[in-house]
Amino acid sequence: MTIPDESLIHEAQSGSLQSFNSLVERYQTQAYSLALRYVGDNYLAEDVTQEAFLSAWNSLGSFKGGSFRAWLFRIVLNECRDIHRKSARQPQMSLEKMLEEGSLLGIAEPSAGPDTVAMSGSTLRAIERCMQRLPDDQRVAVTLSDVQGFSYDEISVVLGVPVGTVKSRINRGRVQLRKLLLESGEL
Amino acid sequence: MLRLIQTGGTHDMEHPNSETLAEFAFGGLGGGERERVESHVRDCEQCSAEVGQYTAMSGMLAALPEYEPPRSFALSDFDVAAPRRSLLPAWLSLAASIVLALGMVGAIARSNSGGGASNSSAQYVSGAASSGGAGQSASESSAGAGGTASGVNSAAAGRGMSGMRVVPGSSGGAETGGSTSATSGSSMQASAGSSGTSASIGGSAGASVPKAAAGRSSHIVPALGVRPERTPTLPVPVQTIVNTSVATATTSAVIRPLNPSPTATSPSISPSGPVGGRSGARIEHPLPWILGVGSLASFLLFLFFLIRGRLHTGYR
Repeated sequence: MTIPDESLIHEAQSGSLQSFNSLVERYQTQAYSLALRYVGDNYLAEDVTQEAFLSAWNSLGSFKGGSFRAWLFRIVLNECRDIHRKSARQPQMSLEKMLEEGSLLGIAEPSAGPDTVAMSGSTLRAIERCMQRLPDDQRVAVTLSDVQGFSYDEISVVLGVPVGTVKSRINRGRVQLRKLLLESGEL
Repeated sequence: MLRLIQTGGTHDMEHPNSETLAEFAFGGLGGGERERVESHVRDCEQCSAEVGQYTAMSGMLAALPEYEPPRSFALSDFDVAAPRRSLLPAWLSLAASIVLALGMVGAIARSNSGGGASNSSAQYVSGAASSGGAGQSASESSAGAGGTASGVNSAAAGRGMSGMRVVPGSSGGAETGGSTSATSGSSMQASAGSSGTSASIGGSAGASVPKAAAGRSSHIVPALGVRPERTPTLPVPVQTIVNTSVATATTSAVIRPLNPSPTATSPSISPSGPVGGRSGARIEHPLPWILGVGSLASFLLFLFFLIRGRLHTGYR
């Protein structure tokens, strides 16, 4: 039986690191995937994710309810922006290169659920490549919405913008992505 | 409201724009707008094809996998207790380095000037002269360099304290009483500091008083070769007056020689301790070096933390 987020959060806010780590285990794959798609470098993504969970632990007292996932991913995104801005180095191992070389340690189930189409490796690489060519704000919005299944309200919390802006970014990202996929012959 | 900006094609109705079609394909539209777009797409091949592409894209995006992290990000007690990203140690190190640097400068200044309180000092007290005919009160030269004898606060002129006295401190020093030339009437005192481990005196009017036999003195005692009638040839800079009240009854000024080096006019120099880097009398003490090394180490530590804080931002 899965313990609800609220219970774990309550215990974590009382100082239980074990409960917080249960939340970490629950969301670390999604958080790492978002970071990897944002920064495009597995080492940076690792750093970002670890920093985000530590920041989340340190500021757990400021969580006042609502979607914990949205609150957590806002921290992840802020860490992504922060490290992306500070880091002058080029990605040592880009997501696309990792996919080509098969050097990713593991690929988890899609967040969108089991009713998804099977995808060849070449299609996967093509989509990820096109996603990487989207502007940052659109890529994050599309990833959260169409890949990771966040609601508009959650994305609004993550991005810190109104829902209308969220919809606009998502739809502009979809339009742009369709063009890119058409150009690459995947559609 | 249906956003229709595209026109043309075989259909009479204006086409929904791409964003609306995308939102429709991804199931984002609701209410009456959805029905209107659905009705249009049903009759418009162009829009229908576009919606089909968006639907396919929706399936592909939903099928994108999540990537397993290479390790768990669960926090340990150590992670929680010691956030590594904090720059606090760096700033603490910087503060410590500043404090140590200031201390080092102060200690070196005291050491070089033969400061009073330090036991590494030698003070030359002059003044209270001019009882004799020379009338050059408070003329002093260090280490017998010929004496550029800055006039220093000869308030006690006329008292006629001839001779020289060593004014020891609390723990050491010895009075030499080397009054060898009373005719000049100049009085010179060497005053050890509070710790009183040293005293340096020189003779007045050409007198040569070799040393102050301070108890645990480790100081070089330059003899003073002050000859009032003689024109100094090697001027020795004299530093500031640091104290006008020394441990004697005489009103005298304390002046500190910057470079009390021995010359021919002061043949009697009694090095009784370690000699410093400069020629002649140089008082050495390990304290400044300890502080200097500590300051350098602290500064390097600061740089280390600063660089690590900027470059290493994660937990690997």
